[in-house]
Amino acid sequence: MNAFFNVLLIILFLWLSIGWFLSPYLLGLIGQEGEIAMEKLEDVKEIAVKMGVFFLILPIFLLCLSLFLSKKIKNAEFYDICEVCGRRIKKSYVVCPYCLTVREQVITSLQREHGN
Amino acid sequence: MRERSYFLSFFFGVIFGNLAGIFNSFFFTSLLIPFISFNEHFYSLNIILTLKVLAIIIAPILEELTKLIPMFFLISQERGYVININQWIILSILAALGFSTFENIIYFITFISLYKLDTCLLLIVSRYMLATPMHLSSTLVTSYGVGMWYLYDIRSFLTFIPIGVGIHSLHNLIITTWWF
Repeated sequence: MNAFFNVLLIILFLWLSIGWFLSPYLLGLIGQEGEIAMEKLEDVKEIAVKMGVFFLILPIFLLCLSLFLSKKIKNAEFYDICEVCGRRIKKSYVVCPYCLTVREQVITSLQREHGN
Repeated sequence: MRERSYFLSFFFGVIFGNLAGIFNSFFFTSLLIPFISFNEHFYSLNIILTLKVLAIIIAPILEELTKLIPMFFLISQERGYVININQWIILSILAALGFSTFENIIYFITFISLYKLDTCLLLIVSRYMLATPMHLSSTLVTSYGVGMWYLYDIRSFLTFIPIGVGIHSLHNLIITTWWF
């Protein structure tokens, strides 16, 4: 599972959740200015708290879904990007079929696997 | 991936945000209103319903797809440079940030012609606390799914697209319920 995605997802949903929890307060302040009528502020408060809680729970659900899908990735045939031409090729290819570059890292890993 | 791509991604987010806004307005004025006006069955439905349909169904799909265009464009321009899923995520987040910043600026210009500066600033702060993280998070989820499919050919991650669009729709549903 991609750790970078996890961290970003948690940060953004926390930001969103804080936003929902703060929104009734912000709308109350806007209402105090008197230019925009805030009639349903109590309803807003209730919905905002529910949404705040929802966005706290959602990252957990998405992380579980990602973990489940990551199991599928382990079984799937992985692809790599050629460092020279940028085309997608199978990870096990020693030579890129498009630009014919020898992929040293694949040779090294094969040598490691098979003991030179 | 070259460094300039990150700047370009933000810039393209702004441009495509602009285009999505124009298309939303065009869709509303040119397609939905005449359809409702000339159809007897729909005539009883008011303009608010049209706005809700636009905000809850059309805008999220359109905007989520629009925010993905900069990445595909940049990748087509940057052939020969390696891109991995982390770089893909950063590019998409920057495009979404550009998109959201542009939207906030447009809203600020609209608000300033209607309300006092204090009210405008509060409205913009509330947008930065709600709309901006929503745009970033829905784009993150959508682009991660598309990136896993495009870069690694794992189609099961395309299920992330409706989740990203759903987050956007849910947000718009609540906001439109508040205001109308």
